[in-house]
Amino acid sequence: MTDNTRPDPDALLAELRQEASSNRGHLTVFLGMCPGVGKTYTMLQYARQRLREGVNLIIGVVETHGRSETEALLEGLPVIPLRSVDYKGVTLKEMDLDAILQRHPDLVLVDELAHTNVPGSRHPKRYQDVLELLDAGISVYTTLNVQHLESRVDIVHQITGVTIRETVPDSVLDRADEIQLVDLTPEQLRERLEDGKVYLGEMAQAAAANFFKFENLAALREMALRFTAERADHDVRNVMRDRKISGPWKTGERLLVAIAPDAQAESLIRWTRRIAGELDCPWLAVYVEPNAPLDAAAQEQLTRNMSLARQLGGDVIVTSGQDVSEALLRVAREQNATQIVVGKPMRSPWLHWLTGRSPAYDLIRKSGYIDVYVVQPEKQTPREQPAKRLFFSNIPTSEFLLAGISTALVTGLALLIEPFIGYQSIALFYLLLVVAAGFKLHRGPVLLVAAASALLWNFLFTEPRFTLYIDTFHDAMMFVTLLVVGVAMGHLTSRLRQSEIAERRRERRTAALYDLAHQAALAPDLDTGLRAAVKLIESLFGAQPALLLRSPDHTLSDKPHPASSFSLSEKEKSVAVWAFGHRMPAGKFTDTLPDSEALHLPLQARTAVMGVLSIRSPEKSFDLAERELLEAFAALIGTILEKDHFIEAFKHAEIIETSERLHRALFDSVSHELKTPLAAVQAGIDALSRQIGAEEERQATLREIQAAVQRLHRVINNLLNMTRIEAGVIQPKLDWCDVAELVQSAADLAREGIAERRIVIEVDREFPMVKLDQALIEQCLCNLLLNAAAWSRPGTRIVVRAALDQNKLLLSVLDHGTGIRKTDLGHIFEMFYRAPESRPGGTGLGLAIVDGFVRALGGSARAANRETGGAEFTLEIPVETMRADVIRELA
Amino acid sequence: MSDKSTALIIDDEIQIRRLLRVVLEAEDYRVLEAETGQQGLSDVALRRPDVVLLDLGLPDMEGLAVLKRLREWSHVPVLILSVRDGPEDKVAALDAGADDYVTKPFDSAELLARLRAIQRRLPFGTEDPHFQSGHLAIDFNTHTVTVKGREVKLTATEYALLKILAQHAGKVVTHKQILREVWGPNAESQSQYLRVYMTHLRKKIEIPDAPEKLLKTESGIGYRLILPSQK
Repeated sequence: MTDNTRPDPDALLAELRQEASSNRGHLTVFLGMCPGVGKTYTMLQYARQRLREGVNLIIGVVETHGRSETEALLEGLPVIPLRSVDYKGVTLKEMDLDAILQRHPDLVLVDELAHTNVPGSRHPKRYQDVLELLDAGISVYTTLNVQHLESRVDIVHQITGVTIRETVPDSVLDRADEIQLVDLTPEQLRERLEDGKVYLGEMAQAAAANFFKFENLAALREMALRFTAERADHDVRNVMRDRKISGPWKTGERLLVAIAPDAQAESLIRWTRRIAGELDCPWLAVYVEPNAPLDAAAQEQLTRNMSLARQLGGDVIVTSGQDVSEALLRVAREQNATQIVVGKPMRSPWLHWLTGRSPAYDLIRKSGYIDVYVVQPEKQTPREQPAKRLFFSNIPTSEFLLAGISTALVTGLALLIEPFIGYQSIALFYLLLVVAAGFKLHRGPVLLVAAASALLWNFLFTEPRFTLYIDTFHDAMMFVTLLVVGVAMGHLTSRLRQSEIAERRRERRTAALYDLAHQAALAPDLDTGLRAAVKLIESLFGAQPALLLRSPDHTLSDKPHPASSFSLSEKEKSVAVWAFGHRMPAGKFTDTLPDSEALHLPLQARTAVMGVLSIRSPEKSFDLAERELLEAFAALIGTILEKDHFIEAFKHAEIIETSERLHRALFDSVSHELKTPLAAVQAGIDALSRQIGAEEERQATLREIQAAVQRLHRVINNLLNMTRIEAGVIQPKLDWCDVAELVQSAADLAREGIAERRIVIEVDREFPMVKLDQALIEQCLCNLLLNAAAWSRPGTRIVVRAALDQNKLLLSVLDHGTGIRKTDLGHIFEMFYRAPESRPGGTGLGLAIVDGFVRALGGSARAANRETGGAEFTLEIPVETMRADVIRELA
Repeated sequence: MSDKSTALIIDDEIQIRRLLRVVLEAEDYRVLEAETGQQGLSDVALRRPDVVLLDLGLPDMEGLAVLKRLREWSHVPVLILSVRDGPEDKVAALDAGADDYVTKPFDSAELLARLRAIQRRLPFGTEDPHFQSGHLAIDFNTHTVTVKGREVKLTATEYALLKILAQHAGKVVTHKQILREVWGPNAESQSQYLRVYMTHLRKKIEIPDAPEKLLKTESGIGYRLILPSQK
C-alpha cells in the first residue's frame, strides 16, 4: 500500500548521494531555442561578472563567429590556447582538455556543448570533455541549443524538416545545476538575421531560410520554454522533497519501452524519455534476446539503441525468452512498470506469425493491469536502414544445395521403389526427409525441402502424373497435409535447434567464467593463474589479451605481464593509463578514444584498480554478451590480483613484526651488557667522591674518570643508535612538539660537551606546534651542537634557528668555527667519516646518526660553509603544523 | 632506629647492588637486596621496605611484570632503574604504577633526590596549603600564584595544570595523568591541548634568563616541576 503523500525513500537516498558528490564542478547551461539568440554573449557577460567577483576562470573554447560585440566581451579574460589536431591532412583546432585539467581553474567557459570533436581526441563529443572537467571539480559554463537535445530530435525534425546530428543526451542536462534560458521573440530574431548577426553553421542557405520560418521559430521557442518550465517544476519538486514537504506526488509511474534491433526503436526510446520527463517518473528499456543470433548490422543497431537509452537516462535490461511478449510482461512485473511502450506494428500479421514476432498484439492481449502505449514511430530518419531479410540472411548457400540434392536423391529413390510400395507411401518418405532436414538445416532450406517435396510428390506420383492436378480427394488431403506438416515441422525443428544453440552458447559463457575462476583463482601462484586467464580469453574470444598490472607505487606498470600475447604501443599504453586512472573502459568500442587498436578494461577489485586488461581483436567486434563476459573476466582477474596483493602485504607485515621483535630483544641485551658496567663505574665514582671528602687532588682525579665515563657513554649511545638506523627499524613516534622546548632539551642533553660556548636560540615565540618525533630530533640537535662545539673555539656563539617553509621545518645550527673543508663536504654525513684534522677521540658517528634519524622522518640534512666563517648545518623535515584555528580554539 | 628509611634493591647485577648500597647507606638508608623478581616480591611482602629500586632486566620475570604484581597489593613507592632509555619503556613503566624512572648509568645525586621525592607520603598541598620552589609560590587555599613575589593571573585550566605538577613536585607526571586530571578521562590522547597550555603556562611562570627552568619536560613522557635540591 503506497502512501502517496510521503517522500519516496529511494529518491531521498538518491538525493543524499547527489549531495555527497557535490565536490563535482557546477554546470551552468545557457540554453537557447536556436542559433543567434545570444547565448555566447550572455555567457560571456556572466563570466565577466564572475571575474569581477574574483573567481579564477579561463576560457576553454568560445566561438565568436566574427561578431564584434561578442569579441569585445572576450577582452581581458584569460584563455587557454586551442590545440591543433591533424586530421586527414588538415589541421583543425580543438579545446585543450589536458591543459585545462592541469591549470585547474575554478570555472571554465566551453561553448557549443553539442560539438563533435575531431577523431583522435580523447572523447568523441565535447559534452564528454565537459563531464570529465566536472568530475575533476572544475565548474563549467556552456551553451546549447534546445534542438540538440537527444530527446527532442524527432520533434525538431517534424517542425523544421532538419535532422540534427550533433546531439547531447538529456542525462547531461539533468546533471546541470543551473539552466539559463536565453530568450528572444521570433520577431527580434528575424531582425538579427537580417542584420547578419546570426551564424548559420553548415546549414545551406535554403535550409536556413526554411529553418528560420516564423512558425518554426515560434514552435522552437515554445519547446525551449517548455523544457525550462519542466526543469523548474522538477527543481521545485526536488526542493520540496529535500524539505520533506508533502506535495502532489505522482503515484509512482514507471515506463517500460521494448527495444528491438531496428531504427524504429530509437524514436520509441525518445518518445518514452519525453513522456517520462513530463510525468517525472523513471523509465527503463528492455531488450528480449532471441534465440537466433543477430547479424552484424542488427547488432550495431541494437548497441546504438541501448546506448541511446542509457544516454537519455533510462535503465537498460536485457532478458531472454522465446516469447517476446511474455518476457516483456515478466520484466514489467518484476520492475513494477506501470506502462509499456511498443511501436505500432508496421507489417502485416501474416509475416508476424511466420517470423514469430508479434509483440504488440500479444502484449495488448496479455497485459492485464499494465497499460500499453502503442506509438506511431517517427518516419525513418535517413540513417542507413538494414535491409529486411527474413528468410535468406546469413544462411550459407551450401545448405540450400544440400536441400536440393537430398530432395533429388530421395525423389530418385522413390521413383525406383515406387512400383513396390505404392505412391502413397512415398509421401511418407518425403515426410521423413523433411524431418531429417529439420535436424540439420535452417528454416529457409527446410521450408524449401517441404515445399519441394510436396510439389514433387504431387507432380511425379499422384494421378494424373506429371501435372499439378490431383484427382482423388485422398491425395489432395495428403498433399495439403504434407505441405502443412512439412512447413510446421521445419518451423518447429529449426526453432528447437536455435534455442538449443542459444542454450549451449549461454552455457559456454557460464562454463568459461567458472573455468577462469577455477584455474586462475586456485592456481598455485599468480603467474600460472594469469597465464591460464590469458589462454582462456584467447581461445574463447579469438582475441589477443595483454595484462598491465599495478606497480608497487600504485601507478600502472610500463611493461606488460609476460603472459600477455601482444606488446602495447606507446599510444595504447597511454589509453590504458587513462582507463586505469578513470576506472572506466576505454579504447575500441567505447566512448573514449574509440580509434585505438585495443579495448582496455580496468581490473576493478573492491578496493582499487589492480591493472588493465587490453584486448586486441582486429577482425571482429564483440557483441553485447561477449562484452559483458569480458567485463566479468576483468572484474574476476582484478579480484584475484587483489587477493594476491593482500596475501603479500600480510606476509610482509608478519616478517617485519618478527624481525622487529628479534631486533628489539638483541638490542636490549647488548644495550644492557654495555651500560651496566658503565653504571657500576659511575656509581663507584659517586660513592668514592663522597668517601674521600674534599681533598682537591683526589676529587680532580675522580672528575677525570667521570669525564671518561661520560664520553664512553656517549660513544655507546652513538653505536647503539647507529645499529638502529642500519637495521632500518626506526619507527618515528610523532607527537605535537613545541620547537623552542625541543631545542632547549637538546641543549640540555649536550650540556657538558658544549661548555664555554654560548648557545643562542632563535625561535619565534609564536612558532606553531609541529608534529615530530621528539626523541629523534633532540638527539639530532644534540649531536649537531656537540659537533659545532668540537669545531669552534671556546667563547664563541652557536646559534640554533628554526623556521617553517610551507610544510617543511627547517632547523639550523650555525657556528663560528673553522668551517668545513671542501673535500670533506661530500662525506661529512658518512658513517665513521672523520675529517683529517679533527680532534682525536671521536667515532665519526655523530653526523651519520643525524642523517639517519632525519631520513627516517622523511627529511634531509645539509651542510654548508657560511660566508661569514664557520659552518651551517640544516635539517629539513616535512611536518604537520597545528592549525592556527585549533590553537585559538584551545586558548 | 626506625627513623631510617628502608630501601629494597631488586637487581640481578651484583656490582650495581653493591655500589647502590654504598650510596644509599651514606644517606642513612637501610638497604635490602633481592636478586630475582620473585625474591623481590616476597621481600616487599615480608620486610616492608619504604622504597623499592627495581631493575627491568631481571632473570626470572620481566621487571614490568614484577611491578604490576606488586601494584596489585602494595602502594610502596617504586623507582625504576634501567638501561632502557626509550620513552616507550619509561611511559610503560610509569603507567604500570612506577613512581619515577632513572636510566643507567645514573647520577647518584639525581637518584637520591628522586628517591626523596617519591617517598613523600602525601602530595604537596594536602597538609600545608603553601608550596614553594625557587621563585614560584602557590597558595592552594586562595588559588594565588606568585612569581618572584608578584602575582600572576592564570586561567582555570592553567592553574589546574600547575596544581597537579606542584602536588607531585619532584616527580614526573605523565601526559596521560595530567590530561586525565585536568581535562577528564576522555581526553587522555589529546596531547596537543597539553602542549599548548604548557607553553602558555611557561610563558607566565618561567623567568627568561634563569639558570634553571622550573617546568622540566621529560621527552615523550611528561613533565616535572623541579624542587630546588634537584637538578
